[in-house]
Amino acid sequence: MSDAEPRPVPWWQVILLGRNPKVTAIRLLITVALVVFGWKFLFVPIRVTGPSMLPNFQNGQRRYLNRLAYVGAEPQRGDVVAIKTSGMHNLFMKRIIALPGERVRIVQGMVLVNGEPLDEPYVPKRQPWNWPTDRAEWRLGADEYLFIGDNRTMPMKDHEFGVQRRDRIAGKVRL
Amino acid sequence: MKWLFRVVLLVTFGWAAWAMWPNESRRIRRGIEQLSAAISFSPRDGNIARLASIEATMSHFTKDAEIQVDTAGFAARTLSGEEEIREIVALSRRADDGIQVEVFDIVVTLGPGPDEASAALTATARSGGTELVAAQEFVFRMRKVDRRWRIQRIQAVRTLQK
Repeated sequence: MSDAEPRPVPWWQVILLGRNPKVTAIRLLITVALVVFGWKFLFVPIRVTGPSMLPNFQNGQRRYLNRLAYVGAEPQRGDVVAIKTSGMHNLFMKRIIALPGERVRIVQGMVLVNGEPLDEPYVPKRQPWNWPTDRAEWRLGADEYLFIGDNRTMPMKDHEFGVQRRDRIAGKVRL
Repeated sequence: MKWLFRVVLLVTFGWAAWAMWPNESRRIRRGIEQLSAAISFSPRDGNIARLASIEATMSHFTKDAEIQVDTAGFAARTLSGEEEIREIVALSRRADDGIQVEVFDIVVTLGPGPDEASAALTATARSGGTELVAAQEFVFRMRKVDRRWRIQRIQAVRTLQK
């Protein structure tokens, strides 16, 4: 009795399925699972809709949301983030303008944080917004942030901006 | 192979039971999805279909329903009662490009009473099947009337407070 010679694997099978189709299938499944997991929970692909982040983000552009950006790190002023609505399907994309505990107001389009004008190089043009309208200034709570889009050429009433808690931040938008 | 057959059978029965006897949360979710389908219409829909969609939409509301809308770019408004809501729904049927409404991320909370519930959700509206016109968070207050969940109050919620 002698050992039979292993049958040579056809070249087309090596290209399509690898030398061992079972191992290839397992590798493929693991890769697909990792990609799906990554796209769903780590780096979520998003599409910019609407004009509120012009001129820095154009309508229709595709970006990624880093969902781990604030694990062990605090959101910073100037970060562009996505804010959850009732879930993750629709997100608001805004920039963090003021941090928890800060006093903020907008006078003639200029943002004042704790009474000091905020340098905003990402806002090339602005309308003379005045906010808040019902009090002198807004004091943010211990867990609250002020989010505003970069497009300040819009009338204030048409621009969705305001205050929300940290747990509503879905992640940081990657440029 | 017998065990595999049993597992498949069990999964099939489990799925059938889940689909055929939905719990209250799923009934509410399904009702809201049906409402979004009823509100939506295509520019190709004829007058009869548009009229039917008004009735289908209204069947989801209680007689004393109220809708509060206060969103960026639109004037704040409250619609009270079946007639006012019907009027606005009928008016919306005149849109030449049609309206496509979709609802997402429906979070149902049952209570406080046995026939009461609330649902937080996000709705988007498109016109002409192209650009997104609006995305808005809402809270629906639901009441069970004649063994069917109906909407008693719709309140638009500002995601960002200002």
